[in-house]
Amino acid sequence: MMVPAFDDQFTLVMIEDDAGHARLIRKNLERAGIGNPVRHFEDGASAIDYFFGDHLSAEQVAERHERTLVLLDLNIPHIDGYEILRRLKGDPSTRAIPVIVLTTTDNPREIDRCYELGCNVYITKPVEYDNFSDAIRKLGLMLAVVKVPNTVVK
Amino acid sequence: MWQKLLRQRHYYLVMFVLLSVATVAFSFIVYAHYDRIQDQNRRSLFEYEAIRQSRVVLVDLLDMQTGVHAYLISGEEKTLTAYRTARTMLDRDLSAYRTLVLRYDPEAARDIYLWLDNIRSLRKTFDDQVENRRLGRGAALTREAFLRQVQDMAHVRRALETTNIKRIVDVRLQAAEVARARSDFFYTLIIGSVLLIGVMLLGTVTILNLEADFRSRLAEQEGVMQRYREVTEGINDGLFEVNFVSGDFYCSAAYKAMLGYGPDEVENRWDVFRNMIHPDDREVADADLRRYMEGTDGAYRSTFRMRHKDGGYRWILSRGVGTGADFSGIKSMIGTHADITEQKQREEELRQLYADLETFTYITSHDLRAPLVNLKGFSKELEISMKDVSAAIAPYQAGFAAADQKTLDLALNEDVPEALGFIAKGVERMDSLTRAILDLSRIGKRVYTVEPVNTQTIFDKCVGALGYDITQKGIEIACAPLPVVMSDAIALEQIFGNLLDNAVKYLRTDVTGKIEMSVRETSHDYIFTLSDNGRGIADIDKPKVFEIFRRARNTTEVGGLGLGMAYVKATLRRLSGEIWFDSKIDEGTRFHVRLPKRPNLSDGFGPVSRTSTQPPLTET
Repeated sequence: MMVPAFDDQFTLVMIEDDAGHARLIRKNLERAGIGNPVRHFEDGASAIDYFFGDHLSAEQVAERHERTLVLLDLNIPHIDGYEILRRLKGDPSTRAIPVIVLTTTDNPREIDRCYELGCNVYITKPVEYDNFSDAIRKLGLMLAVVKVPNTVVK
Repeated sequence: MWQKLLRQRHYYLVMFVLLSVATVAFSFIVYAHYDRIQDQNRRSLFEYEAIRQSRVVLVDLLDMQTGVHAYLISGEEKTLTAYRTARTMLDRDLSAYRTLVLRYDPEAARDIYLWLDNIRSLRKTFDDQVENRRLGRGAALTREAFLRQVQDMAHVRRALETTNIKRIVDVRLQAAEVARARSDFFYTLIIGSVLLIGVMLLGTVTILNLEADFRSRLAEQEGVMQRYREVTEGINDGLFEVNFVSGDFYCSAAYKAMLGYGPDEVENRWDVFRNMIHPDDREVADADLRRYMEGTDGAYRSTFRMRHKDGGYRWILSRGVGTGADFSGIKSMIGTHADITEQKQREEELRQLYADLETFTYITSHDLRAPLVNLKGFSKELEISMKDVSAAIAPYQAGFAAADQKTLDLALNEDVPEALGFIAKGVERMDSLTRAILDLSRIGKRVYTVEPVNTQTIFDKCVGALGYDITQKGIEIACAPLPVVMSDAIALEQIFGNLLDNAVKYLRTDVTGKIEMSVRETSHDYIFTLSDNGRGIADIDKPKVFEIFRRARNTTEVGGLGLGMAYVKATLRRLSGEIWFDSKIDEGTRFHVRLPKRPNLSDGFGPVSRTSTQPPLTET
């Protein structure tokens, strides 16, 4: 099993309201050999809080904005995926963080809209489980070789 | 044909002119007749006068003879007085006679001169006798001289009689001719009278005709006006007339009543009513009018809100036509106002309802997919785990009691796989259904572009997509040349594709499949007909053909969701088209698709195409 060197380890921030989906994604990522630390948020508010919340020490901010990759679902309660994407890509301190939208929607208009807002990759969750696990496994293989920005300009 | 001819005014006019000319000609003919008869009258008068004069001359001669004889016998001087008087009379009467004849009958001059010579010679004879007697030479009249005198006298008388007889014959001839002329004249008069009566009749008929024509036109116009009034009153529409040049404006009581005003409450001024248009609608209203005035739009039609007396607004449908149009453009307009507030409200409600429904279907179908991922995923995971369990306990199974072994075997190898299989099937079905609902809900959101589309290309493409099935089943496909229409290419492909797919899917298995595409053109539409010799649709299933998720009972072995026709119908509705069919069980089905030549895209009341292009988002 390929384990990336410690230096290449980045944190996966997973924003996914469906616990079942989150479990299945993690299961399949693990099968693809991705052992990166994962921060999971089940709603938009807590995710926003994680990135932009008050009372964060400078260290925390630096940690959270560095060497991070976001897996984002669109249909989540309170603050939806579009809003999170807009905030992340609209803020200079988080703009460089790669965002992978992973959602059930395959409507072309929504795909276009996400890319317009600045998402880096858009992946549809197939309903068919074989396809689903295949897609996640491929995503895992990609994540294994992906490089994320090291520092973020404040 | 005569009836028709009698009704034509030109015909009457030509006849009238011809008869008038004939009447004038007739007058000339009458005058000529009159002239000739007058001539003959003059001639007859002359003849009588000539006869009378000649007889006067003869009497003068006789008087002279008597005078001479008296003198010769008596020798008395005083008896010569009668002779001399007679002689003077003769000179005068002869001269008158000669003048008369020479003037009116020059041809008779020769006869006259001969006759005059005779008379002169006779007069000379008398004179000589008188002279001889006076001088006493041969006092008695010689027998010889007397005989000559008698002879001369007879001669003169005969000549006179001859001439007079000729004249009398002449007069008689003339009298006969005058009688004939008179009868001619009578007939001419009859013909003339007939002509005159004809002219008068024709004139009268023409006048009556024109009068009747005028009356019928008047009645027709009155009828049109009557209908117009009834219609405008009947439909309760407001009437307006505006003159753009003079600025005159008229509007009916209904027009004002629509806005809550009495007939005399508001001034009849265009700007007053124009100011009642809702500020937000003024621009649109002006643009609609301008487009009509400039000739861009064929008819003036605009909808806008107008302020009611109660302060609220009423939706008005304004329609009109330009009048007095010539090369310089439309000068005035007459039109109607209809209150469509209620209709607008319902439309708005319907739009809202439709939008809600669409959002609902979208969200439902969308959100249903998320749990499906879990159902599928975890049942698969469960399957994997069960395999792991089976593998793990396999080595120890031999040590189990027979009953346990059997239970375990049943659970691991039959019950669990069966349960998982049913779950998978159920999920599969649910997935297709949600996907179908999603597809259907997207019809309303799609933005159609109307452009020239070659339906032949589209049809061929759809046939190509089904190529495998068509060759496999040996289906015969016939297609008439198809036209280029104004429509949306993708929508048409979906329509043709679904219809063809159904035709291929539901063919009978016992005969060679035949599918035929044809097209018919009407003034406003193209009607495409796709016929097949398939299994047909039973009467009991016919009402459900276009219903979503409905499938006919004779199709159970063929896969399908019962979505295609509902999709086609919804798409066609948006393209302002139509679909219907006729079918006979076991014989085949014909689907007819009507596509308008000028599609007027309805927005399907979808909220997206009008207000935003964004899909509704999930919110809790």
